[in-house]
Amino acid sequence: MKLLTTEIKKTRYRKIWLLLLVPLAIQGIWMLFITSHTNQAQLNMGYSNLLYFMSTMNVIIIPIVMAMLASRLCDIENKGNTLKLLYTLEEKGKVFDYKLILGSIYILGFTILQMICIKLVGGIFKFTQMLETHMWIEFIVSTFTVSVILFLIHQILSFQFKNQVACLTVGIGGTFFGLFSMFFPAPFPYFIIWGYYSILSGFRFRNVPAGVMKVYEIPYKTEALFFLAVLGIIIYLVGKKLFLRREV
Amino acid sequence: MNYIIETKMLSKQYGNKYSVKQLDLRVPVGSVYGFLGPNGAGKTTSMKMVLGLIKPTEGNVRILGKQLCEKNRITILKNTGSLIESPSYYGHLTGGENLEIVRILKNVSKSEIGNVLKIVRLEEEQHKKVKNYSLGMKQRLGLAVALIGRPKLLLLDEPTNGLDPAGIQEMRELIKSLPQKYGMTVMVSSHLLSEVDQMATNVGIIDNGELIFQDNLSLLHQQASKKIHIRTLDQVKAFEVLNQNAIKYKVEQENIVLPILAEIEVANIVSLLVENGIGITRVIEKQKSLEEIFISLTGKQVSL
Repeated sequence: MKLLTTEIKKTRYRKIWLLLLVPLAIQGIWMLFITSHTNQAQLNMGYSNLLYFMSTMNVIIIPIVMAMLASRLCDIENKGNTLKLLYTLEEKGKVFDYKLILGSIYILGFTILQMICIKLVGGIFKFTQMLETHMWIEFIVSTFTVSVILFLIHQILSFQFKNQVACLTVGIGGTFFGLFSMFFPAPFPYFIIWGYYSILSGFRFRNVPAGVMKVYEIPYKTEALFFLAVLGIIIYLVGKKLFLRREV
Repeated sequence: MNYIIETKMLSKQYGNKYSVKQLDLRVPVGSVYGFLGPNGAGKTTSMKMVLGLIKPTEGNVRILGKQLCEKNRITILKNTGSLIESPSYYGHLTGGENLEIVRILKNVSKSEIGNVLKIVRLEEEQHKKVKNYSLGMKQRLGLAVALIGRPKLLLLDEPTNGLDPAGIQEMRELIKSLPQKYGMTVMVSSHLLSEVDQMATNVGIIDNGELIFQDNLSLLHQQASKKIHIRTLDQVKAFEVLNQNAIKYKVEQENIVLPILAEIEVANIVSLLVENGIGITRVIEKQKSLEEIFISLTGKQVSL
């Protein structure tokens, strides 16, 4: 617990919440904008629409946010040469783990706020569709899992490279890669973590006559979530090994 | 337990090159141990290995009588404080907030922050962000971090780096006072011989990763004691005469070197040589400086 306390104390003046609230505000404004331009038929499927579009938007926005979040949390250790001090006070592995735990707490908060935004927009526009429990649970679980793994990748990079350009470049590259992965044939998209926001979305869309886009629900891809979790564990083990091996 | 740090055959190899080779350090309890060596001699690597920050290629480390391993490393290091290379700090936080983080990790009382700030004289600067500190202030903060919890052992790697002359003197006085005031043992590295001479009670000299001298500083000073140097016109014959008369001497740079003797004894030896037809050209009383001793040990010039 003391390590988590110190991790929180270290984030003072770092404006971490601002880093998360700005993209959230953009997503909120965007949701209000598209919902205000939808017809009654689409409003009847309001939550399905928002959950689908939010997943797609997450592919574009979150990889960069995760890169910035990881960089913001880890770079303080690089800048101040603090690892050699921390390693005399705590086990090396714990330093890595608690950074990941703190990142995960921020991500969980961010994901819940996203869900609250969706619910608020639904209330403002009086969606007739019910937000079923499985819908929001699937959204939170998917968004949280993918984001934590992306954070982990960037955490590893932030610790490995003192210059944070590497971390941010991968973040930006990941956004494009994630978007393009939607058009790759199976099974390739399953190996591209940045695209999982879309893969794990419980909704898809198809164009119906008159150019109208229709969102429909699909069974949740539990096997994809499981595969992602396996990838996450492998990345964690490799990343931690690299971290422990690094001499300070 | 006589030694607070004891290393055995401690080595670190990078590729084919040894950074530290078979180091047998022995730091006595309650001493200020000056770890002296030219830049790149292996001082920092050795200290990092002592703290477990670098894994040794071979050898082992005992701190406070316990052999250091990954399992007990943190428990043992709870009794140590360190300042390795440059001070570690969070620049966006104040000095006080930096100390608070270390205090929580070391699990010591809040009052300890005030105590260490007082020791390093940073009380008035504790609310200032560390990124706005001068190098000297950062160095003092680094020392304050090391002092939190009154550790039994302090490892300081070139702690006077970046300090102005007044700061250097202040730091030296502070380090010297730590064993007496707080019962600490201090291992302090430096490439400055004069610095070690002013602070240390014990000294270890490292060069090219190998420990070439380790003992009381007074023993090093003994090597610097006065000697009588005699130069003659026929050194070979002079050696014979001295040997025949059982007079102990050494030869250094073709000079006959005698220990410091009473005036009459020197006069007798000179007479003896002259009576044997050996012309005396010089009789000099010489004292080796610590620097000369260091050079004779390492073959390198050091800063003074």
